[in-house]
Amino acid sequence: MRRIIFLITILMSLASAGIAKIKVVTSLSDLAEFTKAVGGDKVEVDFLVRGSQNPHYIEIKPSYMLKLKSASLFVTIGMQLEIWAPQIIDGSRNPNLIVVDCSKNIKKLEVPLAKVDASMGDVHPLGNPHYWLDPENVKTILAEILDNLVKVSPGDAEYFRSNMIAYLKKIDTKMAEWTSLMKPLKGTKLVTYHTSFSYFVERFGLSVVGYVEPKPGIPPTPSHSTELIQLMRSAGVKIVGLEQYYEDNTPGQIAKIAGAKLVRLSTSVGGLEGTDDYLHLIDYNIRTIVSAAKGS
Amino acid sequence: MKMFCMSATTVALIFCCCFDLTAQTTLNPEISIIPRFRLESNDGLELPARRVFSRPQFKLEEFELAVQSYLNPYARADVFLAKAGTGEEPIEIEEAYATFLRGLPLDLNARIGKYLAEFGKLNTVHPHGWSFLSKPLSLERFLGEEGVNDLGLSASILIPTGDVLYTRLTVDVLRGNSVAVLNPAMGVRTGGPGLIDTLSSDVYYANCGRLMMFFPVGENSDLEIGVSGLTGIHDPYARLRFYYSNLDFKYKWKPSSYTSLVLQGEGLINTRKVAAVPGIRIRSVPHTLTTGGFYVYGDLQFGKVFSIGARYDWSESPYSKTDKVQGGGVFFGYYPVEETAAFRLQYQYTRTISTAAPALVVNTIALQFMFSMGPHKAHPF
Repeated sequence: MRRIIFLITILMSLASAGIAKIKVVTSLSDLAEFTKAVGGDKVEVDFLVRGSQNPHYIEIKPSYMLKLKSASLFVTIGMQLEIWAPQIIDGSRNPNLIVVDCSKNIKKLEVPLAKVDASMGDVHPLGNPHYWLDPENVKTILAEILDNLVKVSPGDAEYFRSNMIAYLKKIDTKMAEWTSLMKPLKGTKLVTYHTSFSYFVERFGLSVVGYVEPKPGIPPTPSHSTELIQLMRSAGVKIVGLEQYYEDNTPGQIAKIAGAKLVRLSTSVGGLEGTDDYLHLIDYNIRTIVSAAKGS
Repeated sequence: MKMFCMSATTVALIFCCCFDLTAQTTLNPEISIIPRFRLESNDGLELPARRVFSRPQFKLEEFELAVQSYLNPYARADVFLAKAGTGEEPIEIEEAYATFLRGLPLDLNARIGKYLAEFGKLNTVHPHGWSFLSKPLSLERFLGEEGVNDLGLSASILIPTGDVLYTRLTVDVLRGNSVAVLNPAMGVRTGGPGLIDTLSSDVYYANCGRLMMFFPVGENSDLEIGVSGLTGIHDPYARLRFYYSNLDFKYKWKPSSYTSLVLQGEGLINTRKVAAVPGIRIRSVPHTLTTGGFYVYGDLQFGKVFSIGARYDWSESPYSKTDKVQGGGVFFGYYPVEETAAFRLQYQYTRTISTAAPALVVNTIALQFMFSMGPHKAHPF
């Protein structure tokens, strides 16, 4: 009998330990990894946008509302990347949900200085939101996640902090390797489809001289493609970087005519094969660019 | 609907008050404008004498102005004003309601105002959100051109059905005027569940409800199924009641932002007490009439900016089993720059069958252009 009571007690403790996990939902798969890195086994993390999807345009599904219904934290990129999020947050009917904006302390790029209107395309009025592709910005993101996890579970503050430090060490180690790989490419010019890599190229000293989109969010037009080809020829651009969720017809033609190489890059964890986690994601993008530059 | 009309001057005054130049920009509501223009021709005007397509009519189908904002941390408000045509047509309040999103027990959401009630899948979607140009014939006949759109109070609750199945129950108490727009003699396009003279009598509330379930059926596909009911008094003199039961579904497969497929349909069953002798309601023993209708359509989006689809409609009349209409149509959409502008072309075939007259077939070709200014939110799934 005692043995049975002991077993039941053990099972109940295990069950309560399971229940005690902080449920976190993130907008992007990258944020899910960062949250898991800080929260460790104290958190249960899910995300809404798969790596292969364009985070700007997500259908508002009731299943997303259901995910947020029981979550304590909703971790977002902010800067209006997730313009679809308010409807999902409202639909979740979760009055205790804490919405975490990881962009709060990020040094923002491409912040418009004048009034933004639709003639400029889908310009983000608060600046370019693709900051997570700069590994140095991950430190700021982790700090924001840490602050909010501590709010939910103050008793685990030390555990979260030590997890964060361990993850940052991994980033720092890889950062040294990435910097060394990219050093010879400093000043290399490239073209991308969208403004997804502004923070990435700034960090590693590359230069984006043009975009396949005539304006952010606006599909390519023949006249813009012609201008872009001329620009690429005159600037000696040999690489066209294409985000994982765009079709390669027009960028492929532009690259071919301009004598450049079209390469697929990933903006999120899981976006392409070999980008299963954040370190592999940055690794993949860097090695692809290095290889394309060597090839050219 | 006329009760909610207001003059352009009144609207202008409201806006002058709302948009005080000194007001903080951040407190201004979100304003969107969506006009829909239509070029249409059909071969039904000179029937049965001649079958010839009419000279295409170019008209402003509707001009929609949406003003939306949070009122406070607990509630938001949505106002949609609409005007059809460029002439003397009145500006109408299509919808004006407040939704209480937080702070209610059981995480209830409550809505109060004039709104499109959640009856079926398409009723709450404004026409600019449809893939096609004309309302399905069954909905036009049984719900009228305006749909179930009335003053009322609504409450909805999420029913806990696990982490995968999303289940929501919505119930409404409506003033009942929206069920009072039918003059059965006027044909398909003035359909609706009630009688026109309800307006001159006492208020008879209508009740509406929908249970919807949503669940993913794969990595890129989802299914929504809904069951709805609507009941009200359609004949105030004899106090005759109608009951509508509706089953709807929507399946969407979207493997990428360039491709998607939607399959959607609704079937409605109408049960109502009607006077045994038409026109003589008092002291007449009513009998029960059961009729119905349905539509089903498919819409394939390809190349990101194109879509093509087809719809089939079949419907009886709310008041007769022998008065039927069936139709089919194909439609093509072109969305050059996201959702900011759209062109839609539709061919519609409509066949009306009645015991009183020979079957009438009308072919309609219509081209629609619309644009969208402002941040009008996308309709959920």
